Amino acid sequence: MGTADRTIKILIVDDSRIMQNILKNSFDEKEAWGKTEFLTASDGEEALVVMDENTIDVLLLDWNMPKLDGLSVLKKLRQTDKYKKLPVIMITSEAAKYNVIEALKAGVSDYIIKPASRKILIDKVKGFILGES
Amino acid sequence: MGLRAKFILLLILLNGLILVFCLAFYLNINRGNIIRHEISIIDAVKTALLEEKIAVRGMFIFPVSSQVAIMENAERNLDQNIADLLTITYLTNLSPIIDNSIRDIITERYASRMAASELYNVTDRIIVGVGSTIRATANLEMINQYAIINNNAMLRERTQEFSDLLFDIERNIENALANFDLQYQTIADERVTIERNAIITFIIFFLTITLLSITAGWLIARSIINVTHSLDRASKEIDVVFKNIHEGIFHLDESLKIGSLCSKHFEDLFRNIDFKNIYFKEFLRDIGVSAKDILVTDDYLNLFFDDKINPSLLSQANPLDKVHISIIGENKKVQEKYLSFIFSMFTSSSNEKAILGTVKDITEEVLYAEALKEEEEKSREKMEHLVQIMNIEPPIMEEFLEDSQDEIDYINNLLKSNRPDYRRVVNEIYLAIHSVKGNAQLLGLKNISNLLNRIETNIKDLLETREIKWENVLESTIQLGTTQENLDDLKTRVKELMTYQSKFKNLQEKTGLFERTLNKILVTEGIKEGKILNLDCANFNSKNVPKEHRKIVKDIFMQMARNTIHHGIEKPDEREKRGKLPQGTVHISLKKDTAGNIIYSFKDDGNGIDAEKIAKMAQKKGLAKAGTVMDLSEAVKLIFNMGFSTAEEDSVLAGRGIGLNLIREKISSANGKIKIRTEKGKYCEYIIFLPYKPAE
Amino acid sequence: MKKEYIMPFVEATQNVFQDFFGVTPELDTPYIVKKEETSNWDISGIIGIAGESKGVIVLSINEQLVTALTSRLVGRKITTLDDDVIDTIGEITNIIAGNSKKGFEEYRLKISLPSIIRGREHTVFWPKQDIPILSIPFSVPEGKFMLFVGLEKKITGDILT
Repeated sequence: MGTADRTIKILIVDDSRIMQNILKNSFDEKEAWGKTEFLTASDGEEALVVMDENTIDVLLLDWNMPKLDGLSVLKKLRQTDKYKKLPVIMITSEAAKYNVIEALKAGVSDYIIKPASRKILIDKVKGFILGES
Repeated sequence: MGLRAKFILLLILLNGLILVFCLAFYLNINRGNIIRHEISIIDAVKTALLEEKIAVRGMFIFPVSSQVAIMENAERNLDQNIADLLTITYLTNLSPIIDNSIRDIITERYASRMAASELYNVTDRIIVGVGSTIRATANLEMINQYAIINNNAMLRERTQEFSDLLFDIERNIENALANFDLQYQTIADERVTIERNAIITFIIFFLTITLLSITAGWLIARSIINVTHSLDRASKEIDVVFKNIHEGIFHLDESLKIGSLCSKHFEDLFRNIDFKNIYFKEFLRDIGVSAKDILVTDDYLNLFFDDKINPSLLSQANPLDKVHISIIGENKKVQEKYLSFIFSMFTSSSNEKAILGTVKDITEEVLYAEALKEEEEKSREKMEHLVQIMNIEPPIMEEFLEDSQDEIDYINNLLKSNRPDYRRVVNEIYLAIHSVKGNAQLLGLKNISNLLNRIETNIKDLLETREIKWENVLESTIQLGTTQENLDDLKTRVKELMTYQSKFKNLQEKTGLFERTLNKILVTEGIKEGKILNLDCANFNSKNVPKEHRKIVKDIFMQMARNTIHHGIEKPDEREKRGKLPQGTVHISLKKDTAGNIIYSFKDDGNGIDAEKIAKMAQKKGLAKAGTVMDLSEAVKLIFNMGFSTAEEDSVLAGRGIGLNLIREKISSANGKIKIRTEKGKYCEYIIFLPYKPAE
Repeated sequence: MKKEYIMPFVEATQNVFQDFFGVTPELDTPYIVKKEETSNWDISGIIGIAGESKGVIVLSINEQLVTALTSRLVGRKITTLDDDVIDTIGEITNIIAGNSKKGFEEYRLKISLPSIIRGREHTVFWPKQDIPILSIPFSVPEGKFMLFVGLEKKITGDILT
C-alpha cells in the first residue's frame, strides 16, 4: 500500500484557530495510515493557494469563513479536473438539512456536523485515505 | 428455460411440422395433379379413340379414311379397265407416252364425266358419276354385299382385307381402350390411394397438430395459471401487507410523480387529497407543507437519482423526517399533524429507478415529546423555585410571607368595603402587588417575582384605560386571588422544607446508630438464648468516637456483646438465685485520659471470669500442668490465647477463644492496650485504651 | 380563572333577577375569601364546572332576602323557606347555568346540572384545599346575595396562572 511510504497531507480549512487545533489534535499518528502532515488555512482563498502549492490528500472544510466560504471553495474545486475526485469532508455547525443538501449537490464527499465525535472523524478520513490507495 | 422461450420453441416446432406436412401434401397433390393430367390425357385419347372407333365402325364420312375407302370402292367398282388403267397409270407413272395415251383414253372415255387432271381429287365425283349405287356413306358391309351381288371377287377380297384391317384396327383400339381403361383404372386407383393416403396423412397431421396444440396449450395454460396463482397469492400478500401496514408507503418515479400503487394506510392518511400521479411537490403543497421545505425536498429527492452521491449521506439530510402539515379532516375541520417521511431508492427489474417513500403519523410522539419537555420544564422550575426558597434565611422568609399577606389583606378589606372609586381600588391593588413583587425580587424569588411582574403589567394596562369599569375591578380581584394562591403555595413549600430540615436535625441529636444496633443485638440475640439483656449507654455517645477508632470499637464491642450473650450474662432464674435483677445489663462508656488515650469500657453484670474453671480446662487441654493453681491474671492471659475456650459446646456465636485473641491483636495493632476487671459471679469489665491524636 | 369565565354568570344573574323579580342587582366590588367564609348563607345553588378549568360557582342567598323577593314574585307574603322558595332558587340557578352555557362554547368548559343546598353552615365542596374564592356581592334594595367562584387554575410550571 502506497500510504505506508509517503506522508499523507490533510488540509484543515477553518477560520477559527481553535477549531484548527482541535481537528489537528483529533488525529493520532498511530492511526492506520501512517505519517500525516497537517496544513491549515483560515479562509477559502488561502485554502486554494495552499492546494495549488501542495498535493493534498484529504480536505477538511468549514462552511462559514471570510473571503470565500466553504461551499464556494468546494464548487470551485469540483470545476477543475484535478480536484474532481478529491475527498472533501465538510465539518460545520450548520445542522440545517438545507445545507447538507446544498453540499451534496455541490459534490461534497462526506459531511460531519459539529461537535464532531473524534471516532467518526477519524473513521471517515481513514476511509478516504485507505480507500483511494 | 423461461416461459417465453418454451413457447417460441414450441411454435417453431409446430410450424416445422406444418411445413413438412404441407410439403407432403403438396407433393401428393402434385402427383395427384400429374395423375389427373395423365388421366385427362387418357380421357382425351379415350375420347379420340372412341371417336375413331365410331368413325371406323360407323359411317363413312368425309374424313380421309372414308376417302380411301371410297377410293378403293371406286377402284373396285370401276371398270376393270379403268381400274387396270389406273393401276397401270399408277404403276407406270413414269412413262409419259403410256401416261398420255392412258390419259387420252380416260379422257376420251369419261370426257363427260370427269376432269382428266385430278384423279384423286375427284374421287367423290367419280363415285357420283360412276354409279349411284355407291353412296358416299356406304359402309363396308354394303360394299361387301355389292361385291357379292356383282360377283366381284377382287372387290370382295379387298373388302375382306379392309374389313380385317378395320377389325384389327378396331381390336387394337379396343385393346388400347381396354389398356387405357386398365391404365385409367390403375391410375384412378392410384389416385384414390393417393387421395386416401393424403386424407389419412392429413387426418394424422391434423390430429397430431391438435394433440400437440392441446398439450402445448395445456402446459402453457398451466404455467400461466401457476404464475397467475403465485402472482395472485403474492398480490394478495402484498395487499394484506399494504392494507395492514401501519405506515404509508408510496413511490415516486424519476420525474417525482407519485405512483398509483400505495399502501392503504397512505390512502387513509390522505383521504381527502388527490395524490395519485401528481407531482410530489404539489402534493406537499396540498397538505400544507411550508414553501421552503418543499423546495429543499425537491432538491433532496433529485439527489437520489444522482449516481455520484453516496446514499448513506442522503439519509442524514432528509428534510421531511419531521414535518408539520395541516389538512382538512373528516369533520371539515383543519387538522394539524406531524409526519415523518423516509425515502430510499430502488431499482425495478426493468432497470428503472424509483424512490420508495414511507410516511408515518408522528403527531402523538411529537406532542408527547413536547408534553414531556413541558413536564421537565415544570420540574426544573420547581427545583429552581425550591432552591430559591432554600437560599433565604427562615426569619427573612417568614417576614416576607407575613408582609405579603398583610398587603393582600389590606386590599381585600378595601374591596370588601365596596368603594365606588374603582380607579382608586385598582390603583391600590397595583401598589400592593408592586410592593410584594419588589420584595420577592430582593429575595431572589425569581419565579414569584416574574408572575407578579406579569400581573403588575396587566393591572397597569387596566389603569391606562379611560374608564375603569366593574369588570376591570373583577379582573384585578382575580389577579389578587392568583397572588394569594401563589403565596399560599409558597407558604406550603416553606413549611415542607422546614419540616424536613427539622427532622434532619432531630436525627442528629438522637442516639447514634451504633448504640441502637448494639442494643438491638443484645436484646434480640439474648432472647434467643433465653436471657434478658439491655444496654446502658448513658456515658457513651458514638459521636465522640473518633473516626480512626470507629471500626475497631465497633468490631470489639460486637464481639464482646456476643461473648456476653453466651457466657457473660446468666439466665434470669440463675440471676435471681444470685440476688441479681433478672435482666442483665451491659454498660458501655467512653472517656478521655490525660495520657492522650480514649478509654472505652464494656462491662456486663454477669458471670465474670472463673479462674478455677479455666485452670481445669487448661489442664484438660494440656496447656498447663496438673494441679496448677492459677491466679486471675494468668487465667485471663490464657483466655486470650488462641483457641482456648471454656464453652462446653463450641457455639458459633461465641467462638470466644478465637474472638478474644483477635480482639487483642486488633488492639495491639492500633497501639492500644486492654485490661480486664472481673469478679466471679458478679461482673466482667473490659477496658480498652486506644491512643488518640486529635487533628492539628 | 379568567374574567371571561365569570362574566357570563354575572350577566346571567343580573338578567334573571331582572326577569324574575323586576330588579337588576348592583354589583359591589368583588374580593377574595377563604372557604370558611362561604357558609354564612341559608341556601345555595351550585353549578359545577369542568374542562379547561374545574370548580364550582355558587349562588348564595339568605332566607330573609329570598322570601322577600319571592313574596314580590308570587304576590303574597312568604315568611319561610318553603317549597315555592326553594323551587324559585332552583329555577334561578338553572337559568343562570343555562344562559352561561352559551358563553362557554368557545372555551372548553362544561357546566353541570345545578343543585340546591339549604341550611345554615352548609358546606360546599370546594376544589382543592385552600384556594382563594372569589366573592361577588350583588345588592338589591332588600339586601345582598353572593356569587362565589372557586375555580382551579391551569398550572404551568410551578406558578399558578
